[in-house]
Amino acid sequence: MAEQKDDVPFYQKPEWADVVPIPQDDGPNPLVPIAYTQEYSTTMGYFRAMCRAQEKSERALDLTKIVIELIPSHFTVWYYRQQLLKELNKDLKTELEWIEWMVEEHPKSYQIWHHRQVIVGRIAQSLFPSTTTTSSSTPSTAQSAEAAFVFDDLSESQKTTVQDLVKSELEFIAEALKDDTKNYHAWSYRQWVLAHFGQGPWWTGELAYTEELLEKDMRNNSAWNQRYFVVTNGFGGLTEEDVQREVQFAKSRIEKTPSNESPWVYLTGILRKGNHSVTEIKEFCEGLLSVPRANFSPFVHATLLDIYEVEAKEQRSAASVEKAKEEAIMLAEKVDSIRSKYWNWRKTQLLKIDVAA
Amino acid sequence: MATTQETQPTTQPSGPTFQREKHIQYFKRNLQMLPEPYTSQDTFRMTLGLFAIGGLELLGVLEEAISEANRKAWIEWIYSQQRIPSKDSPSEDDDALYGFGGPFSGLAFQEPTDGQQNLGCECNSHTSPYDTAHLTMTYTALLSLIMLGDDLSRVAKEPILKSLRKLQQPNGCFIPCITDYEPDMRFVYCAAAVSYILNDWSGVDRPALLNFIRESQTYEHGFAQSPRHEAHGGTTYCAIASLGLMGGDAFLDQRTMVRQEGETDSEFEERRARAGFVDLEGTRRWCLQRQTTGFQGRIDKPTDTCYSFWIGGAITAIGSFDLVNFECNRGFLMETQHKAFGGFGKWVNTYPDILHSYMGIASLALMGEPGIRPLEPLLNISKRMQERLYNETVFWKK
Repeated sequence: MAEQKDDVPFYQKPEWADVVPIPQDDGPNPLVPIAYTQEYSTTMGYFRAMCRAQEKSERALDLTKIVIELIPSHFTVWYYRQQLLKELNKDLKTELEWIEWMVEEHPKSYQIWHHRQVIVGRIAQSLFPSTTTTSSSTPSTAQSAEAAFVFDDLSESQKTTVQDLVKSELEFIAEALKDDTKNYHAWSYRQWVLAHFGQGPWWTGELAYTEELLEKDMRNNSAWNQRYFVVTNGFGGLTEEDVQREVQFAKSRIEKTPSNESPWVYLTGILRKGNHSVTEIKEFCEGLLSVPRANFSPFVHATLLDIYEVEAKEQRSAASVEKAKEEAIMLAEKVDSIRSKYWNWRKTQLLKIDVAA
Repeated sequence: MATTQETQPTTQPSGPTFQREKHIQYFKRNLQMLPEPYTSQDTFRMTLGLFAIGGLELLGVLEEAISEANRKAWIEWIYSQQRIPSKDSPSEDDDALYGFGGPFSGLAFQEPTDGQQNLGCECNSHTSPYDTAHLTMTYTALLSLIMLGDDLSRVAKEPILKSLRKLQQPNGCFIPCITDYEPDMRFVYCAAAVSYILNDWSGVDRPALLNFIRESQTYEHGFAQSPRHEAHGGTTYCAIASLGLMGGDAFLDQRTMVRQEGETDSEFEERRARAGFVDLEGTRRWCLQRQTTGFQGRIDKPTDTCYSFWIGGAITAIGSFDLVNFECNRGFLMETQHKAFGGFGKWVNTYPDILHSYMGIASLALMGEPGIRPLEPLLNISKRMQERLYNETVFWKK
């Protein structure tokens, strides 16, 4: 939504004539003064006057918008705006449209994304006031990862309403992620939306969504993290079936790009979470050694080093220590020499393993 | 662990020159007046001030670059940003948030008069919530006060501790202030650093805080801003440094821990409960994997000057900084320093800014670059100033 450009600054308009701006009082010799523009200083003078009076009015609401556009990271103006929206009983859907515009302008502002969360939390709460359990309207209450509703307990029409809201939020976030697929704020908010509305059908689509993003960029670690989030949180915890499916998924991606760290970390992470040993992927890793491109992947050798080290400890096997040592040397000298100090240190750690005589 | 933290090369590193003089001029210029683009960070001015003062301290020229008159004046300026309870209404249940903030909210500058010390601005339930203190500003104000030579005797410790209790969330995390609800690891660190500087942890529910940190270690082994998010260099520093400030028990192995002298059974058990939950090998590996030349903050993100400190500081805190490839890290930083203006940019060929300038120098300090004072990574302050905290401030000196 484009803002209306108006040649006359707000403070020259008659409706502001009665306000006495409060200047910033920085004292005679301030630390790191900032070369404020006149526009900023004047605007903030009026903003201070509004805050001091805690005025609840349309003009105060308009002013918060002007201040936010000058300084989105301001840590009290959003709160003031949230109070005003409530007091003046404003239409929250209109607020969402403005936020959409602001997110495009300032995609990395913590405050904007959090404001979205507050507003959507209020909308959610207003849908069925009696069934909601959490409130996002007062900042002092805990933000809960718990759901606002038990989705299954809602009536069919209520379910539709919630699904529409979730769908539009997920689409809004997906739009922001098109511009920056690794936007931390967007992903954090996405996790909140998914969880806040409980165990609804939107969780099913999320796995496909991460797959779609990974098709476009297999190195998008944020999408891998989201996949882990969905698999471990979305369907009541990680089942053995999930583990097997995800292990296959990660392996197939590794085969395509063996030097991509993300699926490696994901693969070993899923194994650990599912109480599987890393040694279960030994054959897979050894198999990659005969693939020309994979042979140079530091992650193949690093994972083999881990596997042989575990074997050496578990079986007190001198042969496994030897194999681990070879991998450490390969890493330090050939495929990952930037970390040679680390791999050499790992090599010295191998000497401490107690092996059978 | 085969590693030592105090490794300091004694010879001048080869390769491009560290533009020390230019950086001194850069920080001096910024200290006088920050250019207009910093307006968008106006509410964080206290933190920008820390970077300018801290940069000059690390470069070894704090006292010569900042006159005694300025040091005294800026101590007064910082205290004038302190929010303290008003004398007439010291009610137990007041809503105001104490600590340090900024002048942007419009509170009147407090001048010391007639032998009366400047203690800050009085606030209470009836003053505006928009005059709030902010946890990050409290942390950075305290560090700046120490560097400017103050003994912290005017710091309103009890009100700050009381405010900390209000800011901690049921899941153990902290928010920075009541008007800005951002629960994440950055404010966990600020709460830990403030508690450490005040030498009093009664404002923090430590088991809850530890639990939050534990929950935030991801399958990647780095730490996220909060549970289930992606591992990130800045928050990994915040998590690891918080654990270090709490005594580093989390890094110990529960199986091999021994009771300390004078420690009771229950104290020992409590300490054991805090131990061993961080996967140290995993954290070490994740941190070291972030080195490309300098460091990236997440897997497959661009290499960025500030992560040379955030990740470098985290690795130092777990005692493995000597496993970093110094030559590559230094080489990257020599590329991001601005040859003409001084200071460091985020990336190669970007304009310098004060945060990245401070972080670039802090990372070089960890590597023992000649002409930079040694750095204490947990508080992110020079070792000289850490000594000053211990020996010359009211909360620590015997």
